[in-house]
Amino acid sequence: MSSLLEVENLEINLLTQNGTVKAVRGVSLSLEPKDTLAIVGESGSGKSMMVKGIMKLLPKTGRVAGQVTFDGKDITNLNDRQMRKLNGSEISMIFQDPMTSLNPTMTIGKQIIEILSEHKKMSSQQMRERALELLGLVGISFPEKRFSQYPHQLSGGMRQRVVIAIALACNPKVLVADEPTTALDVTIQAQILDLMKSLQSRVNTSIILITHNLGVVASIANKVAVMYGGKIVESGLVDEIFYHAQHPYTLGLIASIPKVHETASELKTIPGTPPDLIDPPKGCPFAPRCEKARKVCQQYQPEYTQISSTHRSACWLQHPLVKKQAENTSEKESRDE
Amino acid sequence: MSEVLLKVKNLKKYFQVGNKQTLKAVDNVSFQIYKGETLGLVGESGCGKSTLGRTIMRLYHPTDGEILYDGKKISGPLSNEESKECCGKMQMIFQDPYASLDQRMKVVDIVAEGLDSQETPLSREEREKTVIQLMEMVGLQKEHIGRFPHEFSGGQRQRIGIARALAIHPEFVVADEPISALDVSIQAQVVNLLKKLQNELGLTYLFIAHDISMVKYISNRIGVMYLGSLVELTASETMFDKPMHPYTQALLSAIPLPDPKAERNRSGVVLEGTVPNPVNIPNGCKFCSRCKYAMDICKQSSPVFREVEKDHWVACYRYDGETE
Amino acid sequence: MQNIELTEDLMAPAEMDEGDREKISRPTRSAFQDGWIRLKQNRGSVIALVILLVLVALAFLGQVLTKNNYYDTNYSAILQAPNAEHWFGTDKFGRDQWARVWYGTRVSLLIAFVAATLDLVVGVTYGSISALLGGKVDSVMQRIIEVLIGIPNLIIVILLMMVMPAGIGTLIIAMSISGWVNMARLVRAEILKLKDQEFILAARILGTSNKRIILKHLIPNTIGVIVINTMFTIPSAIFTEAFLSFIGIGLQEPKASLGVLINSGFQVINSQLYLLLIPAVIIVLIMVCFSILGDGLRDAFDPRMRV
Repeated sequence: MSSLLEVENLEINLLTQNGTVKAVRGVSLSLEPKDTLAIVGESGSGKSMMVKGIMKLLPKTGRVAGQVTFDGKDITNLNDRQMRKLNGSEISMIFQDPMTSLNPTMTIGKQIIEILSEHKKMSSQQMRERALELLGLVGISFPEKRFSQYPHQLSGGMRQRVVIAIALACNPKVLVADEPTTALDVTIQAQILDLMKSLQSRVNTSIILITHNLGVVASIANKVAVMYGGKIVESGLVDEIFYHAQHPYTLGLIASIPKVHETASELKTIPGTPPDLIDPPKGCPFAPRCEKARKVCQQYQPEYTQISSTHRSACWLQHPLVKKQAENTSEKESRDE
Repeated sequence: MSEVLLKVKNLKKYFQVGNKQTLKAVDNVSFQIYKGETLGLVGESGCGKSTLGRTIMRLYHPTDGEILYDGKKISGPLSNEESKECCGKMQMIFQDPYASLDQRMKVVDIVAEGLDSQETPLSREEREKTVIQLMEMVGLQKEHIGRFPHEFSGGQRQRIGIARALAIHPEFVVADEPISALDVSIQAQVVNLLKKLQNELGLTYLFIAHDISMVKYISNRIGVMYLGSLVELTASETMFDKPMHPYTQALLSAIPLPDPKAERNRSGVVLEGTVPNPVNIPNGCKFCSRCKYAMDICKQSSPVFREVEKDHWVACYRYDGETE
Repeated sequence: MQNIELTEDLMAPAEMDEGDREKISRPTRSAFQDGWIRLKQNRGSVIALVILLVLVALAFLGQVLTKNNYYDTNYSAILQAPNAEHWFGTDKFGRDQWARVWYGTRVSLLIAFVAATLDLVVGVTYGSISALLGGKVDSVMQRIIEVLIGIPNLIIVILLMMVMPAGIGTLIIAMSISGWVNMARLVRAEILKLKDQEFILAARILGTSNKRIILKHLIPNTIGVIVINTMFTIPSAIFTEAFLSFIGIGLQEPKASLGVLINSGFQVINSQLYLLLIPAVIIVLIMVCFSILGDGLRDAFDPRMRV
């Protein structure tokens, strides 16, 4: 099966006065049609930068290397104009803050029509109908009334629905959602997640979801890539990541989420602070915080180990030599006892 | 039951907005905090939980009602000495790890701010020694004290804020959404740190947050606020095992679980609609516009916040009559 | 595959350095150092700064370099073109234009700096009092500002020049009388914004006195705005001075300022263009350079630019 979006060896460097921030360091991933791929990571892990690099939304100081293929076409070297044509129609994006991603001086309807008129040839009547249809699709009651309202007349959750409607206006093949529910309250987040779930079955769009909330991932993603220190440290199907995680960082991340329906007194944490990507660790980026770190982890960056056909993890602990040694020690311990 | 440290009685804080409209940010809230416990305060944005915290810290003057600390009234005007005394006992940790530290100051000066305004200033060496002690207490190193806040990560900054608050040995700390702006693994770090400090220093916390699942790990009791009022207040376990108010129930079931199998079986939306505009709320129960159990009486008058079961306070008509 | 030799030894558990977990690898720099580094990267600002320094140096040293002074007339050498004796030529009274130009530059700069300093002192004080006291005091103070803004600046200046003797002092007073308004508004807005920031609340809760809050928090955090605004007041003061002198109500001969020089050069624009051109170029250089530098400073010290 050919992938819809294929990213190979993407590297993004940001030039700052303190030095070069190596925001993304050799990331490869692929997105199949109908996939919902969640990219999970803490702030500063490079997850937003990666997507911005793909969408060509980086600040001027950003330098991108690597290859991005979309729908069989190499889009690595498209110029701004060509990319803008693609953005919005074939790939579209939802941002974190629904307050700032809508134009406060335009009615909701106009904003949807604007994007339609830019990318599609339609009569104004058709565009109006399509806009109303979209508003209905994202679960906005009284689309006719909302059509002529301004963003400030809507609540945060409603606005995020409108943002989604605009993103879906041209039937994009890929929808990139950058922390779409982070700015919302839990009850509203639940509504938006519910909407996105129902859209998955109704709209033929692949989703790339960027988030740090593993609950959100579990509820709508089918594939997960965990990023740390500018690299993907583990990726796989959602069940593989949540139930059979191999990388210590993924395990730590899952363990540090509060469990609503369990009683536990102490929360597990990952000690320390994420690395500064101006001067990333020489070996595995997670080594300084990893409880199981070996000497090799501090020296060399780990390769991916394929755990199943869909699941891989970049950790030295998966290396046969380490495994062998671990067995030896455990044998020795059991003998000592 | 241990002794009451802080008592809030019928506290109201109204703001005037525009043309004679009133925003009832805190509307008739009463509760008490016992010595050594952590009271978690949860609610969605705009429910008045931060205003409540700031009013307790005397940053706002209450419109009505009383706040008693250790039996003494601290709301309303105080003499200079009284307010100094009260400042020394109460401290606050802030939400935004970026805005809560002055960008122009070195960490050592930030942490020592409370020490500097004390009557007998410390010598340079003593001051530095105290700061280093505080930094180590919150898991930072002494090499860090000469740096500027923008060089730290969010979690580290939050710990600097904690060190600053602890510098003057408070008894009671209001933590105003201290973890909301942090990543999950860092949130857990900060929560565990606060718990550790509580054990070591015997602190009492009012822990304000919008994420009820994290609050559970630090709180002995949890209060849920909706549109300026407390709707439920009880022990943490009870809150999760047997939530009574329909809003609490909705809040708990809205949290997405980090468990894909459970999520696949999730059934639909739990709470429709959004929080109404807090200006000019109609009479009756504030939640009734979104409540699936709403009855006629809910629209007419607001339910009283009362102890429905032992140590379980709820403001909802559904539980009226159960105890009477 | 990486070409590394994996030995059993490498697989041993690593020794952990606890400190590494909280490591900060970037160098430590204050906001000021940060801004200075950024300013140095901005080529336009650096050039502007250099030109300004050269101009200021010449304004003070220009007269030393020649034996002529700015007021001695010499009727045997009037309206000379630039030559070895008179580097910028002479005017219609035979005065040395080189000496006059740098003297004029010095006067213009002096007027501008003093006026800008007065603006700064009055504006910062007024603005911070207004913001900190708030309430009724604030609204009365703001109404006063609005009234001052309502009266056209030029009318105040011209009226004042009529009742007071013409001179540098009068010019400075005339310009400062309404010049501080902008600074006051900016400082007030900045402090109002800072007042509700969490770090100020934290200071209040820690029992920090108002005086300390102002000195340690509010002023250091508004200094950027103040400096940048001053960078823009200086060229506008130079321009106002030149304008007033040009229309004849500023300084009087034989005193010189850039405006006076441009005025007298303008009278002989057809025959002796250099008399107009040189002071005009200098005034343009000063104004453009200050504006570029001001822009550069704003970009360099804008907290949003921090990475």
